[in-house]
Amino acid sequence: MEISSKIKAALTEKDSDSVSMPFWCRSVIIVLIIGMAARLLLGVFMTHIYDMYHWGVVIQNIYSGNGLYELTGYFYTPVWGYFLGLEAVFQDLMGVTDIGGHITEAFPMENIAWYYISTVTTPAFNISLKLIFLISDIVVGYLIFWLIRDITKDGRKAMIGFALWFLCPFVISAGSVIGMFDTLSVLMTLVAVIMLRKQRYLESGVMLCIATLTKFFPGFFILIFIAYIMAKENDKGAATKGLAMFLAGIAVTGFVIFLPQLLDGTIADTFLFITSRLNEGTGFDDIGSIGGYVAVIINILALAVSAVFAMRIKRKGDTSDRLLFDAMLVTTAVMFLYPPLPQYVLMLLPFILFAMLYNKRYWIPCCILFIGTSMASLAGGFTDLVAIAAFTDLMDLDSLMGIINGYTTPYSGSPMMIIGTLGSVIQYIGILSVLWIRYGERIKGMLRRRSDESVPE
Amino acid sequence: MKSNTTFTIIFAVILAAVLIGEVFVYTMDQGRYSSDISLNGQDLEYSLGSRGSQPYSVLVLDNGDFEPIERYYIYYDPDYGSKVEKVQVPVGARELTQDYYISQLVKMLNNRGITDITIMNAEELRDAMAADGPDSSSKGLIVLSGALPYTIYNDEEKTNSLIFRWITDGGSMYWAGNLLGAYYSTADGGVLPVSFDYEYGFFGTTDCLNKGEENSQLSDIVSNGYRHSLSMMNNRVKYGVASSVPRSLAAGYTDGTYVSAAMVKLGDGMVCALAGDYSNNQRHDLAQIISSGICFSTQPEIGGYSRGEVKRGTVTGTAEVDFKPGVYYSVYIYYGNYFPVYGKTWGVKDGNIL
Repeated sequence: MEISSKIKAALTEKDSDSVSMPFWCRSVIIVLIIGMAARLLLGVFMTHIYDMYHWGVVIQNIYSGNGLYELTGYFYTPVWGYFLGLEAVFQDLMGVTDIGGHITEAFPMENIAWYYISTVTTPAFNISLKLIFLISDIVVGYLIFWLIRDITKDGRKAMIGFALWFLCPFVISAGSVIGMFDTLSVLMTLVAVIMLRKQRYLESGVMLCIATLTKFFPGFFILIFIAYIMAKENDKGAATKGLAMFLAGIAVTGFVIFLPQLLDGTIADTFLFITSRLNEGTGFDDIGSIGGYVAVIINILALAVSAVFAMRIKRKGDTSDRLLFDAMLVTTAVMFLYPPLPQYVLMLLPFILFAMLYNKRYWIPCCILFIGTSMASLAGGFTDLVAIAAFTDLMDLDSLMGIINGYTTPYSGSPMMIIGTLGSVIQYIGILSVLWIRYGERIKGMLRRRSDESVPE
Repeated sequence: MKSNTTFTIIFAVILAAVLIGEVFVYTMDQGRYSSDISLNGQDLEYSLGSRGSQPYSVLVLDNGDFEPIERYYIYYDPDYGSKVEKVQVPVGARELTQDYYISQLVKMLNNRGITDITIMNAEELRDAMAADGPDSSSKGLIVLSGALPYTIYNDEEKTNSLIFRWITDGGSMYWAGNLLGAYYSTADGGVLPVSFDYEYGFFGTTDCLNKGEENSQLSDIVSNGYRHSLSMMNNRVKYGVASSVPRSLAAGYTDGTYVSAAMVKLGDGMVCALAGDYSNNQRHDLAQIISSGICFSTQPEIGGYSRGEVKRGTVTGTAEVDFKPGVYYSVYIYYGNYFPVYGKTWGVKDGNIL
């Protein structure tokens, strides 16, 4: 009883830096219930087969004692794999035995595209794994709530921010349907930001490292973080110490995470997701066929943008939340000039929400992304129902395959392709609109001045 | 400040999750699984153990007079040519080259208790096969190069090539990656088509290999239950063997004419051909076929079959088998079904575990 009341008191946070609007209020609980219900409902019925199959393979490889990279199946840096290791423990304890099966009736789906397969994971496996994303979404929502409340001292705005995250359709679908783990990277990034603001630089470095080794996008913020530390600490000795703690956090964490791969010689495999894209292009979709080289150029541009913001923070000594989140927003938006997969956009959303605190016009890209990214993430449509049809009596698999055939053929002009392409285009407009809202007035001013200069007297 | 406690907890939980997961991933080993069998008259008693939760399958295969294989050769020679199609792999995956395929296969076979495996180049293979002499039974050769090396197969010796003598003397060849026997490779990296009727040479009948493109209209082979009991996944028939080939057993999938996996008698030995270009599903089936000991003379009716779950403990059971005298039986136990994590095989004959 004493422990639970202490936890409750910590969560209600009656401290001097924040108004006393508790997180656990009626509005938040209603949002939680709606968001959780949506996730569980979607998570039971809809599953993107391809990614979930690979999580099954990774867990299989873990169970067989082959780690993450000895047998093929895992194509990321290790952190998500370690979470899958924890998931394997959980499934062992819960008695989830069958990962999935090879479904003969689903063979025709393999004709749609190379990322449609007929090895389908079971609903029990799927929902058990998606619990990770549900928990992460809740904690991210809490962090967004806390940050907005801390910045604005306005509990209502904090609640709205939490709701916009937790009820965002593409946040829900990224975890509950697609089964991708971008929410974890967002979680760790926000913890890194909070630790940075609290001048807990060691913890900030640890979290930024883990976030980057989950999905590499947060790595682009490192220059911003370094500049912030140097600007925050007035005393040169304190700045050096702070920077040393931050970098030590990154270095030690990176070493610990990569230690098994360093020992078993599979370290090169941990970065194949980068090197293979350089060699062959993304191949994920028609837009992505521009090639890995364009991605490299844009990533260099994003790094340059983050460097510019870092210099501004350092030069002005400006460690305001506004500039910090502005820097992270613009860096992320520039990164996504290379058209992102829908789940990547989770990294952008919190910074749009923070930007809305200073400029309400950011509701425009927020709405555009709500529509476009959600469309793109759910374009798979009926194909995401195969798991529930294959393993339960809730749906007839043969009938579903007939519907899928109609939904996906002919490939180029199919409803699936139309919805997916339209969603991707709207999503990209949303990303561009972030940059237009940020720089549009400045660009218009420059064009106006140039036009005025060119008019003869 | 109270918020510091909250974020310290969140930080610690995330860090703990990562570290615990890391420890679990890299301390997991095959020691968490165990299995054993004993014979009690016509009963096969089995005992299965797992520190985790896994589905299991116990199969007893009646293999007639086909001796179990004890040693495997895998042919790989980068100097000699190969003829396999490049296949698309997921972004971030290693290219599925021949040597990577072999390295993965060896690990998968190790997980199934098969460890007597030697990778040989063209000259070493020739020497080993020659040394096996007139009795190459209990030896298996795995060829994934799409072309047999000149040292054991060529257009001069044709059906007198060493590979034919070795198989007809009792050896078993497992093949995947192209048309079986259509090509031979040379030490300068060349690949040449053979000029004689290789299909007749290996399968005893002409025009029995699928030289066309892939057919996606596949169904399960229902003349036996091995597609399910071995959790077979390679739904491909390109390069596949016709189901009409005599003295054979087909398992897996079919388009009505060709099959995804066929085991064909050749002399006292066997040729096993898996259809399709390189794929993870193909490699899975190859590992299952090799580990289970299934062969051309395996009875379509599974001698004994048991399926269930073992959850953090031990499961014991009995399979009633009509053990016949003089017949080789293969007992294959594996955990994981379509995501196998462990396997073990025993040979049984005349009331004895071999």
